[in-house]
Amino acid sequence: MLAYTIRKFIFSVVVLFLASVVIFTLVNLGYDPLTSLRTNPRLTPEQINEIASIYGLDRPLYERYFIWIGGFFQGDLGFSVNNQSPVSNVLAPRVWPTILLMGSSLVFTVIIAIPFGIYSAIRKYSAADNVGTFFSFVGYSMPSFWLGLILQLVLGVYLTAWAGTRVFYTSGMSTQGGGIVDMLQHLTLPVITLSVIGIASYSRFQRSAMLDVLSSDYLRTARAKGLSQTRVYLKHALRNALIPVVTLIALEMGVLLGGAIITETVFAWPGLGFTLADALYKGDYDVAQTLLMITAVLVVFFNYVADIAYSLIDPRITYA
Amino acid sequence: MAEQDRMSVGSAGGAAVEAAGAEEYGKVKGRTQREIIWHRFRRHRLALAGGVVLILLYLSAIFTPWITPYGFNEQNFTAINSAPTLEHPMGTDRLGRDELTRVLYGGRVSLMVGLGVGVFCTAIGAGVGILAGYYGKRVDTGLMSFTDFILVLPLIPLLLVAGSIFQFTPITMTMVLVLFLWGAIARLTRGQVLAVRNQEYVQAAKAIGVSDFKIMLRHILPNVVGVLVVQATLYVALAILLESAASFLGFGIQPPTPSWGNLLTDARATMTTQWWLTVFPGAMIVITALCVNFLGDGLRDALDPKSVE
Repeated sequence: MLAYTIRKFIFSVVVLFLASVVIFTLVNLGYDPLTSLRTNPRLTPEQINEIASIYGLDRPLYERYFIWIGGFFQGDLGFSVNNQSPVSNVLAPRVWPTILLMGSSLVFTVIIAIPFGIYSAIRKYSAADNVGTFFSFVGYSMPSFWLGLILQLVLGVYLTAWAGTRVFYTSGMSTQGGGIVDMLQHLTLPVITLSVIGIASYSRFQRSAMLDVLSSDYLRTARAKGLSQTRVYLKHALRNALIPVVTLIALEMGVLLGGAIITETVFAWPGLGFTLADALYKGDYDVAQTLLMITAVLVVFFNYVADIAYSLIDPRITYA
Repeated sequence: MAEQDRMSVGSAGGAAVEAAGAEEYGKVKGRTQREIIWHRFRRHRLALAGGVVLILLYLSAIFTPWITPYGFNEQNFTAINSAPTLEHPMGTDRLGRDELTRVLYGGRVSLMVGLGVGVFCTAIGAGVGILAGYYGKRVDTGLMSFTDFILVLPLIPLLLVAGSIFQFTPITMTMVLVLFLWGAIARLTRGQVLAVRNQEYVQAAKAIGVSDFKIMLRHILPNVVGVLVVQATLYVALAILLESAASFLGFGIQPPTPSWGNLLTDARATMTTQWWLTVFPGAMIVITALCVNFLGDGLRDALDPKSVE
């Protein structure tokens, strides 16, 4: 077990190193941060070279890579050209909105998906189960950005016109001086957008995990010894049926930031995903590569945790 | 593979049950593998409907220039910002271009990218998975470590970076999506191969001196092909969703080439007044992805050798 943990750890570090090389190369070969200066007729080539050396852009690529990655792990994230301030100052105010949005939609997803998945498994092929199956197909065939647009149209524009007053906001996180109600009005539509796909897939996943457990021998034993149905379902079945779902959710945590790009952009939510899309548009390379690297770290970390947790939770899995 | 399809299953599977019940054993008509699969698939009505709609969608993409009387950049100045009418069933945009025509041309791009990604991902994933599973040991460790690396890369952010650098055309978009997506299929295939590679028929083939390549092609591949077909359909849907998302954000297919994603980017500015520009391209994405997913579900049931009739 210890050997497995260590081997996985070394693999994660190697993967992270390779990912950082890929990210750095892509971003730095793709963007020339000095494009706007080069086309400026009032600057001489010497002046441009001088500016390049101020930002360290005249050094060879591999040297710049080590300066960047060294800085990244020491908390020096670089300098945002577009905002003319350190990247950490640009990103700091963007962290909370993303956590708020991700956290709310994760809670919302779990509250709906898990009970519904369990119910569908217990009442297999009932009307509710069939309707759930159909809607989960629709859910994961739905592009989240379009769902966001439709929600903006129906619950934003049309509902406002019909009710004569704003019920849900379609962009931003809060109005100046607004309270908790105002925040909820902003939060609702992006949370629904982010949750639909999760609800669709987690509820089906929970259903099949529960069905697996329901057909197992120990559950028949539990019934045979005369336990009540509720007790069988809640105490014996649910505990085991939750394991795969929880693992799946842990794995998805790392990917969340990637999914946030789309929803945050549609709703102009001032979070990290919106910032990343914006930085890519404007060629703000230090912001872009920092956010990409943070995403990579999160994905690798949660993969590692899920691997280890999986082997700890499930006693049937052994690793030589 | 042809042998596999023609192989009578009179001695195994569902037909055996019927055969046992028949009075005169010799008169029972054995059914081929293909007939059994078709019979199972046909009962899955949503999958059947999905398949039919998909065929229509692809036909309309192939024959687009013959279906629509307009060009995708052709402007009709007498009908600017027109709501859906008989003449323009999906309305027109602010330049008077027929939205149905643009949706059809956009479909050519989206459907092609989807199909391309589905086919190539499956081919690469199957190749890598079969090699890793069949040879095992170092080959397995090497290939699967690489696969794990691909799987860990953050997909959407890197897709956007690639898009902002390369200015995607439908073909480069397909290539980049394949590059990021084949990993999961390789993992899955490897697992399937591990389950069959020590079966007697593989050992028998080895014993009579069949080459490794032939064993993989004739004995291993037919046994994993069911899983691969299902995965291929799911990846068509996934690719269409990713392509449209990237194009929507401005990092995918670039205008003036229409794709379902970038049609929606255009639509955003005038969403409150011209609802049809937002509703129709998105509805096409959902319908296509839904049909592909239904088809995949039906194929999964039909191709599963363990399912009972």
